[in-house]
Amino acid sequence: MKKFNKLVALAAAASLIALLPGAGTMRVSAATPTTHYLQYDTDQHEWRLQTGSFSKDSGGKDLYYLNEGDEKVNDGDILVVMANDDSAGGGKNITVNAHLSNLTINSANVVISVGGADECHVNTDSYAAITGNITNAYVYDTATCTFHSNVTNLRMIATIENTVDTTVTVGGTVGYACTANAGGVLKEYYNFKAGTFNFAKAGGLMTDPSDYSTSGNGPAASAPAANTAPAAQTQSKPAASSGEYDAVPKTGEGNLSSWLLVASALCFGGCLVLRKKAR
Amino acid sequence: MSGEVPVAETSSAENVDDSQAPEESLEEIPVVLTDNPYQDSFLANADMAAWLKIEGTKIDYPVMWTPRDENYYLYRNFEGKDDNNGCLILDTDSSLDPLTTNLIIHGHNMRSGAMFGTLTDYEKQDFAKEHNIITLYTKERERRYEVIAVFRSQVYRKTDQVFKFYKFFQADTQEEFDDFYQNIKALSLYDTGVMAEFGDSFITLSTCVYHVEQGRFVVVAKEIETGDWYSPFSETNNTNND
Repeated sequence: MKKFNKLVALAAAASLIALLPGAGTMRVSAATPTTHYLQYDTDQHEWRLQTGSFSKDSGGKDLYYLNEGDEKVNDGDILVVMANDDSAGGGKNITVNAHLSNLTINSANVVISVGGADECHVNTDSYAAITGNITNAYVYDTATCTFHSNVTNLRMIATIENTVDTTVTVGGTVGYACTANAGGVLKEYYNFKAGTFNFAKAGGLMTDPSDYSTSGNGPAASAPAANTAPAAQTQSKPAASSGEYDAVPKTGEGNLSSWLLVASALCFGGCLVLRKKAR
Repeated sequence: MSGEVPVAETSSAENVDDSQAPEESLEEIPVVLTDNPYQDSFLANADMAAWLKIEGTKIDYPVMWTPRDENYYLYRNFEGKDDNNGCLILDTDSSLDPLTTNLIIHGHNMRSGAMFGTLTDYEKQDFAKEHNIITLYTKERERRYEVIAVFRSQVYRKTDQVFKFYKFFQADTQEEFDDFYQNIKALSLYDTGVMAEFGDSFITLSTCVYHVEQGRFVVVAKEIETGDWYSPFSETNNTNND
């Protein structure tokens, strides 16, 4: 049984690493990270914070005001920005000083400043402007995102369609960038100069070829460099399409998200087993 | 089985004269009519245009043809229920009656190996040699094809002026044929040793791959001989594509 548990844990870890290239660069905190949920209260026009688990039915009553709850967010914690009305959340900036282990923008409209993040996931339909250095950024499907600071590894992933429809601009440098879909990595780019990364939905990479390289050794494992982002905010704008593709049935296996879910479940199970054993 | 028609003199690949258009030569050969082995499937779903089989591989599936909505079976199974595997799809610009020069069949590249999940095995020449015959069972007859070219390509933008394998369905002139033939031969990952000429018919199997955006892995085969001819059977109008 012990051997079986060990195998499960190893398989879980291996599957996650295999599915997320560069996941080995994640910073692991010794303390158990706490998960916080942020949601914009459209009635009060304030961001509220809820720690532990998110209750949709709370109607905001049980949520903390951000200025009270900010101190509850510590280095290594996880922050999830919950979905909100497009017209509501974007108008009010939020600041979290902690260096997060994971920042997830869950189909939300948000302008957020953090003290950096090991991982940042910008889910489909999100409109996000993020300040703070990011080690591993993942932008999914139709999300639109501006990173004002440096991004070490940036992955733009299509989980619904085969083509990558994200719109991403970066104010700082980008060490490694790639597009990917269910079948794996499509294109890889390296060493973007500060303020030059510009990937537009349908138009692809709009950066001048002199500002980046196409040769390198995969995602970087180093910590992000100092913040060299310009002070002025830049807004991502979709560029004009350079032409539609011919209509041919799309025959890729479009279920990357399912694989990620399975891998996450395996990993979670493996972690539980390990923790039990440690006790 | 019934045997009303005189027995065919020959149907072997060795005796087919490639210099003649297969349609003309093969149609004229008198044959024995046999029962269609996929009759039940044809009757179960009127959208089924044929059955595709490659001996020694997992490829053994119905091929659906839905001119009103080409993608209808892209994520539906034979019963019309949601299914990530989908079905093999005969491109709506291809036709079995009248037969177009090229029949393009699309299928998902599934990790499980289902549908065209193993099609990329044809990248290896040895594999292609061992599995060089592709059989298509239509309502009327069995069509056999021999692999002529294997290549990687992609779906291009509408404005791109390049060879688009997925746009070739009919060659009415020598020039149209040459354009297709020369391009697939040039793109082929290896020389199959199989030649073709104007008048030949083809089947093209296509699936997604990811070497580039909108990548496709393509196997093209040339019709070489006719197998059994099938007795007609009465059809019911059972379609899922309404």
